[in-house]
Amino acid sequence: MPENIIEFKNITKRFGGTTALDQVSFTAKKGEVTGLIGENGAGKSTLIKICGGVIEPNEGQVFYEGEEIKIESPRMAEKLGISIVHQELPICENMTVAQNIFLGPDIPGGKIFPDKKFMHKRTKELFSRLNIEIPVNKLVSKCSLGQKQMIIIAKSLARDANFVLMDEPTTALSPDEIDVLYDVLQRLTEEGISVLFVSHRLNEVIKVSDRICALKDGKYVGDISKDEATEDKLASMMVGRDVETINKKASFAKEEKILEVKNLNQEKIGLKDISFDLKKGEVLGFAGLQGAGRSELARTLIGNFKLDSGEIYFKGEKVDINSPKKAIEYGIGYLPEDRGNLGLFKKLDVKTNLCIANIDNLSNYYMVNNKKIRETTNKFKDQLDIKLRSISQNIDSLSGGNQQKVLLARWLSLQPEILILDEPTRGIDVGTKNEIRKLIIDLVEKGYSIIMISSEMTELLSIADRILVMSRGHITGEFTREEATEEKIMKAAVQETLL
Amino acid sequence: MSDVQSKNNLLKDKSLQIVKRREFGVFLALVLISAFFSFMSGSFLTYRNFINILRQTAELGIMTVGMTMLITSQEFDLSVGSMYALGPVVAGTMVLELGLNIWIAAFLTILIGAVLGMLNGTITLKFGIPSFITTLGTMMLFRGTILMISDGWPVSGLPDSNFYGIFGGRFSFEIFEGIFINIPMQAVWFIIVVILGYIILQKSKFGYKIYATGGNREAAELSGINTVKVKMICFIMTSVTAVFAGFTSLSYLGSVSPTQGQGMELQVIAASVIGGTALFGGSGSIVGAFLGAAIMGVVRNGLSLMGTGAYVQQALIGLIIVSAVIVNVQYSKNE
Repeated sequence: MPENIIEFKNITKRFGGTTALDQVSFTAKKGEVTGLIGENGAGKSTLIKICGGVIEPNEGQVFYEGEEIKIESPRMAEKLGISIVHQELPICENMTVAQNIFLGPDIPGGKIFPDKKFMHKRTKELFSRLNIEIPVNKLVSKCSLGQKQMIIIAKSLARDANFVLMDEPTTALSPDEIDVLYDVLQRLTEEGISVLFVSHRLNEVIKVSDRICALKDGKYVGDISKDEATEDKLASMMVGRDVETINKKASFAKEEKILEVKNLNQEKIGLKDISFDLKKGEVLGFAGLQGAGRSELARTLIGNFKLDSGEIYFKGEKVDINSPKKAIEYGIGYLPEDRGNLGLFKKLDVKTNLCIANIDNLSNYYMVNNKKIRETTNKFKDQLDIKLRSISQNIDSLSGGNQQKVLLARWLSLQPEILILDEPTRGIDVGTKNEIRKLIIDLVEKGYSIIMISSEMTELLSIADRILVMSRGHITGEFTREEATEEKIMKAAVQETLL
Repeated sequence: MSDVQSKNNLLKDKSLQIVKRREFGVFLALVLISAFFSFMSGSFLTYRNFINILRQTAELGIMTVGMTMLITSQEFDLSVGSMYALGPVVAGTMVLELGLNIWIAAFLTILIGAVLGMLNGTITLKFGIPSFITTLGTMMLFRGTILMISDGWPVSGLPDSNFYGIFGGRFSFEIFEGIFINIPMQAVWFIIVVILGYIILQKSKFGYKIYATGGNREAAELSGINTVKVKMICFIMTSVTAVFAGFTSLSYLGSVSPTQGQGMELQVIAASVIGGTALFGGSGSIVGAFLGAAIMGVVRNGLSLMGTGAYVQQALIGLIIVSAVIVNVQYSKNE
């Protein structure tokens, strides 16, 4: 029996002028969880796509269970037993759990009618194999994200998958759901199914993987066994050098309260009795689980959602911010979490994306002043070290980190006093993450005040002056930088959810 | 929990499920509208008028069944109004000019309808043009073509055939001695098409694939479903139901005008949407489509019985469509 489920030998894949994978030789062992790490653009998704038959390599050989093959199409990959659990979970929300599991060219049943009983029975069996409980005729739109992921995993089992690839599976899961996922991974390997686990979260990769491989700039760096792996080692494998940890040493917070929120309630989105203040020059962190109401709070503060009751004071004066436009006038900027949908104009170029919020000031009367736009863009390009070929380049062609910098520049060009950053480093590679964190420290030193929502506790612990924890729309904890620990934050974050 | 109790709960669950179903709202609307017209006009709630409504709704209803499947797969067809005239005009012309038997002519025309549906599908799916634009074009193309074929004149004077009786006559049977029930054949075909549509969309494996394609095309594609094929078949079914509806009209009237069915595409889409079909695909039901078409028919009929002028009727129907869609959108929000 071959030892490797899949083996890449000197695989090269080029897209036009760029080489996504360069002579990569990589193996995943049978019945093991192989972790795969790498920065954005390191070639992880290209590798997954080759396994899934979405693209074919230009050079090199692929061996599957010891035999050399060419995976020519997604359908062929599926026939081989390769199944990919995508990050964005393609699933039909309008159908039931069981229907989704058996979705495909051959739905079980007779010639015309599907066999519902069989589908329900099989689904229950699959779920019991994975030790999960989801009602089989529940509508998928009513399932949580974690449940949807389980449905996709069960679906690959239903198709007799023996190699499951998971692309950033934990990004949007709650800790409970992540535990369920770990358990499922365990069961998969017990059944002899091999798993490739791709994640940004190094501690998770170490926890679940038997062996961890790293890619950097399209090249294979090497592998490391679970026992030897530490987060620092993995980080330096990914970046190719030792990674310094950013640590904000001094606080720049003044006594002056720039923003004060008193007894804010918003019934529809479930914000209850929120009170807090933000000092000038402070980095105020917001911790909590997905769905705790942090983004909703931010969007309420900028007038995107109307508040039912409560008061907001800006520099000691009571204000009524009823639209994002008004918030901008007061000097409050919001960098949304969902960069793709709420931030970027994907079809436009970098300079337009950067200047669009400030277009009034970059125009003469009603005509756009291209010179001013170029100057502004170049100024921020240098200031934030945005890496690009040309300021007229399409924003979509930048890496996630550089896109985020452009969005940050968009807000900075408006010269706000308060910046609300919602998950500013999510989905960004380690190197750029640190740059953005440094930038945040720079900004407060210059007198900006920052509210930072983040799900990465280490990030909050290293740069926030004060941390508020939210759970189910309440503030359930407040810690100064000195008192805060991961345990305390976690406890507060799950407090209400346990009740 | 005792057995009786759990049975009771089960019953409760079942009845709750019916109330919760989206079609229930449409059904309720139909009942309310009917109650209103019964109150306003003595001749509304009669057996005779009921049969009338069925007959008047049949053509719209048959087309709504096809359209509902197409919209559920996340596509549109604006060319159905033209297709509704094209069917009988082409078949009638074949009979008159080529001397074909109407049965053969009708069969060939159904095939032509299928090919034209495929044309809509091909332009939309192979060239990636939104079906709204594709079928806006073919709507005019088809209409112009039949105006050319018929030179703008109605097609009439077709030789006798049992065809017309089967698609436009009456279906009579004796319930008691001397007492006959007469049901217009259009209504019978309407019911048959609704049942077929119900089986295809809501019961068959192919129906699953329609929902999947319209619900999340990428997910369907990744599951190995050939979404192009699914949508193509929906385009074809939509065209064919329109041609078929045209035949029932030809059979009933004995003639067909090349301008008939102008604006009908929008009524068909409206009926489908009133019946709860989501405009952006993924959800729709044939029962809803049936009820949606019935509401359109009842409103038209009721307003006529009340003696409302044609202009006012048009305006009121417009209002009803918009209100129904508001209800639909609100409902899906709550969900």
